[in-house]
Amino acid sequence: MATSGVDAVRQTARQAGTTAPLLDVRHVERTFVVNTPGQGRRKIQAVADVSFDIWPGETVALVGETGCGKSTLARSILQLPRPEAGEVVFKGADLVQLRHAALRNAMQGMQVVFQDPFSSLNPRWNVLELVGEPLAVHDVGTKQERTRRVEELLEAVGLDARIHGRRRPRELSGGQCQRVAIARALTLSPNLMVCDEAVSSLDVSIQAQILNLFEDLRTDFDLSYLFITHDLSVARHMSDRIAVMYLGKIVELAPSTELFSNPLHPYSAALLSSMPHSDGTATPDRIRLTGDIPSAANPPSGCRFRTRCPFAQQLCADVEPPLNAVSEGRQVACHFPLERHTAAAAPAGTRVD
Amino acid sequence: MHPATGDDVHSSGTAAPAAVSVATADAPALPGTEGHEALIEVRDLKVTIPFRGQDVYAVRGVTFDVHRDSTVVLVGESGSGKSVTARSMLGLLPPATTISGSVKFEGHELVGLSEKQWRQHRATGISIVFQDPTRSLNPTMRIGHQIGEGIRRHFGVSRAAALDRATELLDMVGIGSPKERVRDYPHQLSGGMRQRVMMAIAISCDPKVLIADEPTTALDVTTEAQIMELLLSLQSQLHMGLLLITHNMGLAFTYGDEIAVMYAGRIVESAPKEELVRHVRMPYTNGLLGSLPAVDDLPHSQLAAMQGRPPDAMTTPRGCAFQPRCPIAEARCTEQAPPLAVLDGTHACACWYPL
Amino acid sequence: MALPVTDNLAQTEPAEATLPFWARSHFRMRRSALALYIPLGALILLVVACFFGPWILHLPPASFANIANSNLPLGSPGHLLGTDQLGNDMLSRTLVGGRVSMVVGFGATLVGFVIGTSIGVVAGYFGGAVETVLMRILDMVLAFPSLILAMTLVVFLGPSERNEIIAISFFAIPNYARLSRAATLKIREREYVLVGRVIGAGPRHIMIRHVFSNVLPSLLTIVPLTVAVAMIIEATLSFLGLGVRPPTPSWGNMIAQGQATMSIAPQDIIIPAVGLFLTVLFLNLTAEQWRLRISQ
Repeated sequence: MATSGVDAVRQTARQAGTTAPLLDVRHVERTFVVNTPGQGRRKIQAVADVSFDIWPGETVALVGETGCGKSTLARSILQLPRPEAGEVVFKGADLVQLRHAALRNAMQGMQVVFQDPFSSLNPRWNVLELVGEPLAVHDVGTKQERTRRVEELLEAVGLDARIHGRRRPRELSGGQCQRVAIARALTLSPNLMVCDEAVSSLDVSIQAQILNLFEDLRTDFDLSYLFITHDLSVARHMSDRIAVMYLGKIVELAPSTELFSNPLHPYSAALLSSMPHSDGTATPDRIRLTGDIPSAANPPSGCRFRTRCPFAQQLCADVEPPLNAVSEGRQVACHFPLERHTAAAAPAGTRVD
Repeated sequence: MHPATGDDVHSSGTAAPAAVSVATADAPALPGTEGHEALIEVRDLKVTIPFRGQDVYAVRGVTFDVHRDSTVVLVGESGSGKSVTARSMLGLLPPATTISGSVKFEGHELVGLSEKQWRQHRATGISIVFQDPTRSLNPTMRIGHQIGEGIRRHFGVSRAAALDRATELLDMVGIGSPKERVRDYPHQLSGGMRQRVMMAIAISCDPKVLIADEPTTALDVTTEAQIMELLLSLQSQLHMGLLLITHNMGLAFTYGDEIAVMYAGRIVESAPKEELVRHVRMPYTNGLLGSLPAVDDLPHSQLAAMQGRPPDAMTTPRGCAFQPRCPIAEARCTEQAPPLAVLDGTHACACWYPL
Repeated sequence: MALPVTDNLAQTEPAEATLPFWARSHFRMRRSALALYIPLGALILLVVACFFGPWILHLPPASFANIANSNLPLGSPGHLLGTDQLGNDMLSRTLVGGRVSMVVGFGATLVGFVIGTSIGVVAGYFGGAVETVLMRILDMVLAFPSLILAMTLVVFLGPSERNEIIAISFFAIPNYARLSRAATLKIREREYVLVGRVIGAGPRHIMIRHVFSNVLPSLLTIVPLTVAVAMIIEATLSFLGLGVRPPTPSWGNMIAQGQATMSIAPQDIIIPAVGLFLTVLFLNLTAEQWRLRISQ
């Protein structure tokens, strides 16, 4: 019975006296209205009734393929723009209900790092100005104090203010730009960092450096992360818990080690078995999905995954499976979650062509 | 063509470590695929591209073969020169580019061809699938028409015959109801299906060699697996040589027969897949594999990340290009660039101190 | 310096390969630095000539009517370009007349640029009712043909340089508002703006420090074109007698006056027309080259 990272985190939180999660997302919905010629106005539910939470010191990863809504969910949490329904309770305050200055104040502990290192930096500013922007906006301290803080932050992310300070984004590499974005996010001492595919645009060797940087910062600055990625191995590496999304809904939520050793939702299992391995081994049980992702404007009835699920049955088309807790920290939205024997005599996994 | 500048591969005068034979520019660096004819032979290819007034040494001397019925993977990070190498085989580089060395397709020299001569080899000899199907397909043309375009130009068949062939091809690439689909426009298809259409276009004129330049980078993991398997099945059906370009080590190791790792415009390690899995010799390859987050890592552990970044493609380092980042670099590495040397038969490595 | 382009060569233009040699070198010439500096230099020369020429060259005043000297031909001693019907020195008159065109052209553009861009950025950033109201008002202004609008305003306000500037700016404002609004819509979704909002910056900080500074460069390249059009409108107004009135010279009213002596002294029309033509030409060339270099 391995102590999952989740338990350790919860324990620390209880010891610290916190009984509430840092971020509590409840029944968030985000719908787009799209007007295409020939198809009229359609409502696309990019995020449909999503709930999860993040505790202090925890890293939660949101994984899923294109169109699953993970980025939209992240932006809804950041109120960019706010969701149409649901609550986003951050440090006790529901952000969805707040406006203008009150919202800006309540969001102070939350920062973001986006995917594209270049477009998240104003191309006409230099590094010192970019990292110092939060301080300038909130008029924190004197000019000298601000400069010193910026220098400290640049050092924390592995850059030298004297060398890189006056440079503009186009004079930096992708990895360096991302470091600048991270330094900027740290300026106001956040509690929660939302990383939206923050390493996906980087080369493999740089990706590893930035992931290590995230880990160092996590312990140095006591951060919690919401890590959005499509790369499962990155998610596994970074996070305590992983939420798997499909077509706007969370289909499985589990501690990362458990998700990988024992996925319960067929989609999670399919994702895991589709990952190519860099040791040349073929994946033993490869669950092949048939068909394409259905349109988000017209999701399948009942369980949204049923059209591609090798185990779908009539019940799956009639009733949408709710996200049920199956054990401490594990939730699955499936009528027939996968069973895997944990004993030594494990039968070969299902393989459906 | 005037010769490109760039660091040359030296054959060293000093004694090399034992059991290393220096590969000359004539001997193929990928022996071990006897029995399969070599469709493409690349010898010491160098490509220099002017960019905003400066020269970019994109490829600095690359040697490898592509054999029929075999998959060669060029794997490397951005800036390693792998895409430029692929495009040089189809004459898709900007006109101001300087190319030296030799690229032979079935014995014909491709370097220095005119645009008109290139057209004879493209599509029927060598074909390519690009990364982003959305940008490679004309949104205003039906897909049947786009597939049929090449067929009509090369074989001069009627429009109806081309359409029939296009329908056949759609079936071959696994698109359901091809007769209806052939009249669709690209925006009516998903990303995975568009990539299948690209592949149909690529094989429409029965090429002997297919180049796949990051074919699945824009696709999801589940679609990626389907597309890669389709690629391999097409290869075996048509007995093509396949050159796969990717930055994804996992893909390289899963689908390649021969793997060539590129760094800073050169091949730094090449070997059959089984050999490379067994024993990685080049510190860069080792570092690259080590820095990948693995499925069995503990959460929150540190990755074995390499320091630094790949070198600027506009500079010419004197010694080994990887030396600033190499954990086992010695003095010799700063002075002389190691040539791509063959160690034990099938495994080649460009390192003075292979692992 | 890190290369922004690595393996992706899609940005380079393959079209050049199919052009013949002479067209290729034309392309290259278009992009060289000289292509910008020559028209820009000529423009500066013209401006300097108009504003300082008469003083530097000690030319006779532009409105010193001396009937005795009327209609002297080109190259007459003391009058390089001859004199007009009333005996005024043509060179002096042309240069001084150019001042009016340039002041009005530039002034109207400046007013239009500042007001129009501000309106556009505010409309684009806030959207909703603010945008709708502002844009509809501008649409109403745009619905009038610019020349008729300018004429009406000048008649209403009275003929003078200042009123010409006001009238002509009415045409410039909606144009800049439209352009800046479109640019703002794009920039508003850029990630550094989103980050600004997450950081807690208010709309003013974002509009001024992020949006404006990125909208400005591409908009500035339109300025010479607007100046050119404004100058032509000014010339038209003066030609019709609605703008600057004689004896104060303006290229427009000089052309109007020259109509009377068209058969015996065509240079009275040609010279100011050439002045206008050259200025507009150099403005257009400058704008084009500037835009080419900015877009790289």
